[in-house]
Amino acid sequence: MAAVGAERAASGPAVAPAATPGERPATARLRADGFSASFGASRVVRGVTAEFLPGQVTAVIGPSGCGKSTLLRCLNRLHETARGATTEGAVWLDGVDIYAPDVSAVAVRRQVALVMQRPTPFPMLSIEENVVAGLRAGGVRERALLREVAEASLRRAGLWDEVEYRLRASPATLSGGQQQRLCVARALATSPRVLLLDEPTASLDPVSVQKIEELVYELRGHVTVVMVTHNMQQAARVSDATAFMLHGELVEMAPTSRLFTAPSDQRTEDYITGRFG
Amino acid sequence: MTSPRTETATHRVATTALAAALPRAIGRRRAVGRLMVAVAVAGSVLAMVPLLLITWHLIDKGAAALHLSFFTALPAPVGEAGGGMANAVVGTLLLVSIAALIGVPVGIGAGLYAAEHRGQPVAVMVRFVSEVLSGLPTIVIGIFAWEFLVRPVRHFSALAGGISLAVIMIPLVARATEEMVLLVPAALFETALALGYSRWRAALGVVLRTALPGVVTAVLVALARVAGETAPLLFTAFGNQYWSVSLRQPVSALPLQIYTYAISPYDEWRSLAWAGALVLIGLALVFSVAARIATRRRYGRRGR
Repeated sequence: MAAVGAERAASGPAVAPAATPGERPATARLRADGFSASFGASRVVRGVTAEFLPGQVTAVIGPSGCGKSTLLRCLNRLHETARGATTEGAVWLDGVDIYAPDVSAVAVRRQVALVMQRPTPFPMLSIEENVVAGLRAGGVRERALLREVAEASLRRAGLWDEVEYRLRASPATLSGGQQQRLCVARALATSPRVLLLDEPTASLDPVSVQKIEELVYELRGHVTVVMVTHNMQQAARVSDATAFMLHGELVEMAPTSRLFTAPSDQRTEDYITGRFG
Repeated sequence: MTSPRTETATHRVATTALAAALPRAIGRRRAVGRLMVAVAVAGSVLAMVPLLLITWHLIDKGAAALHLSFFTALPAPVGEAGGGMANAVVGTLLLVSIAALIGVPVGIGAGLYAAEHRGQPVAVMVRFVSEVLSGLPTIVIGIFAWEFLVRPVRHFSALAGGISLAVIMIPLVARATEEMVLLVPAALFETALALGYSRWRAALGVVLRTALPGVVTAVLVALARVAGETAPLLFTAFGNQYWSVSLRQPVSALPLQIYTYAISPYDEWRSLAWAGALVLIGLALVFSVAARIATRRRYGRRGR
């Protein structure tokens, strides 16, 4: 795994060109370094240093308002689009600081995809058009390629069998869980090297939750996943590593099995044993 | 904090009182409910009466003069039978096209900008200006256009008329666009950004496109509204008895022609004015039907 990351880093500025569309995404190592984020005067993420290993699934847990979603939105430079939002520190994507002045936010976002908490299919596009929306925004025009990527992405998101015969239908005809998997397919279509999931199952029914979890499990090894969740069982089920955040700080980050069985910080233990939060 | 026991006791007292009062309350609610339904029905009937009366009156008076020649012939001199308002129909279409060409992009742009920068000084300014502008009497806009577009060049023109209609359209379109865009969830814009859309592309391709049905309706309603404007055209497009599609020449328009003919002493002209009014209302109908068709969702009904 590490070798893949090193190879990428060695092959020049990793953030510049996107991978060939449709190609299996390579994984990347993502590291936040003394990273802080604020909305105006209120600092929501405080000096977080965390490493997200290539191909691994990392869960970020913590009570509401602890800054976990904001941290996630900083990892693809979406945070800065909010008004009054500022950041400090660096986030390294395979050795390239995505906050360096010469790196474009748009290029970063093509490599570090984000799926929102609630499904956000574009209502005026068909199911298929939704999947390839990111590619089209990136200038891909060839119909055959778009079609191919759409199918591949829907298959990876486990949605192909359900929508195969209604690719031209509105995404509004899908259930909430299907819509969320459509959003995952859309995020995967640009072959990102990192996939960020912001509480992707928070608004879904149990069966859909299970499907999303299976999907995340299958993505392991193919793409680096960072998943914010308020559900500790979910974190325990799907992640390789878990990060615990509190009041904007990263309290502890460890392999999931260790964090949940032998946390080294008292606050982590209090949280996972349900004493607060 | 009250103890659970007190809470329960209070609750019980309240429940008992409620049970006693319930039948009376329900009876009153029913009566009030019926009254309100009656008021609402009466209101909607009253709202429809003027429209029905006007339409019926126009058909009654105007249909007789509405021959094919109305759309093909120029106004005939007094005393001569026949004649039409072909030049006014074409003139109105020309003026409305100019207004749309200028008013739609500017209005949508301003509305989108105000919505995307909500709360910021410039956006507040845009909104305030649109509000003031939409409250401005249209004759004032006409005088303004005359001062700046007619007087310097010393002749009336279709362009000056079209621009004054555009000025009337812009605030209508801008405010409607802003409202429609604000209805689009912010998460859609962020999703687009997260997919690697540039800001302008996310704003146009996702946000505006999602709001488009509402915006199209607003545009068509605004077009119908300016198509019937007379006041600002009096000193800009001015009117013309002859064919003209030149932007630099005075041009006729239906409302102007109706105005001229309606106050004339000749019966043929007055009946043509009725016909013109009927055509104008028909034009508004065409616009609103087009609005309905345009806003019909691309995918039929929502749901499973």
